[in-house]
Amino acid sequence: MIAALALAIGVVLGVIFHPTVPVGLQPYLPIAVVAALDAVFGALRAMLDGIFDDKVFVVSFIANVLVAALIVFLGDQLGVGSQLSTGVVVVLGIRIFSNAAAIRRHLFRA
Amino acid sequence: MSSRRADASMSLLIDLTTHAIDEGYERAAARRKETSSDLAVAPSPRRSRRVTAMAVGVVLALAGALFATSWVATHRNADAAKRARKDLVNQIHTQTAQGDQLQQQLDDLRAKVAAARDAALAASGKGSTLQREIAELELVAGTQAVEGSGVEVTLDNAKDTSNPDTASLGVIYDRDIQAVVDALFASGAEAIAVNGERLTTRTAIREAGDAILVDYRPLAPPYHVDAIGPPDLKAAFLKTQTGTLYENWRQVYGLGFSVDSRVRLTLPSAAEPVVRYAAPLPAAPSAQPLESP
Repeated sequence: MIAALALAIGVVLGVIFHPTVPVGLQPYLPIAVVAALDAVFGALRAMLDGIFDDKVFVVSFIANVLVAALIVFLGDQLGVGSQLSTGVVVVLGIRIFSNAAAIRRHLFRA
Repeated sequence: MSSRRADASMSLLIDLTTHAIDEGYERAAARRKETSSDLAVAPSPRRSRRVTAMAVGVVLALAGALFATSWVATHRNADAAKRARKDLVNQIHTQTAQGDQLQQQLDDLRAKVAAARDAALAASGKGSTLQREIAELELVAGTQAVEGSGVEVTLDNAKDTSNPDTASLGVIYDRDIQAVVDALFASGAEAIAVNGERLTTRTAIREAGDAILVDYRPLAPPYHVDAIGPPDLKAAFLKTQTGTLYENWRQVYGLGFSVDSRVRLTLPSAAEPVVRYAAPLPAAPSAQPLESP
């Protein structure tokens, strides 16, 4: 409940203030979003599994977002940025999908 | 603790689907179980639990802000692109209007110059001979508006583009207009205008992007090629290779192609070509004045 409220507050703050993303960071925004989605879905599933842990969530969220952005940054420096970002999106997409499936199994028992 | 496969680090895809959830959660749960069974260690103190709960809230708010920022940025960029496009379109319209106005001004000034020249020449007997000569040359050069009977050839892109095999074949290109103009001249046409652009010896019919330019002015389909010529111009044109070819394409590809006789056609004058660099050969005999008819 509090978590959903915090998420909603974040969305509202983002919409109201819509902070400008520095141009240099703009390419990494979509990747950060996908990584954040993955962390949030993972946390939701962990909560339903009854194994949610505050510390693990905070650390994994920040680390995932940073590492995903870093991988793409590294790829950009090596000339394989778009390929690597595709890879990151595929991997995280699969994870989001299977976590969503686990959440669905929890909620609908099907 | 889940038993780890020997090849766990290698089978990336299996790992991905079976460990979709962060392994940290399982490990933390296992640790908690250990510590809670081991009563010697007390559960984590209230204060640190509150701090971590707040951290979760902050991180979730951060995630929400991240999503919102990304969403807003995406939509704002789309708006910006749309705005830029609109600005460019407006700019094109203003510049075109300005160009048209300048062209109008130029035409007016040309008419004034011609009138002044005629008035000056009409004063003397030699002048009126020159005037007739100028009129005749202008007629041939295409810098004089003319009228007469002839044909109107209309070319248009095929209306029915549902068949993907032939859709691209029903499009009119610059070379189509060139071919029709050539065939009309070959059939005896004396003056031709395409969509109101009079052709001279220095008029280019070419293509830039998707637009056909005649005398560097873009035209929009349908293309009307007006030609003044002998009474049998239509029959002669339809008998040329180009005429039969386009008639054939009309039937096969649905190309817009029609040839109509016109009793009275009025063709505008072309802009006077300016000759800056070419000069007559010095050795050439001085041009004989044209014999007055």
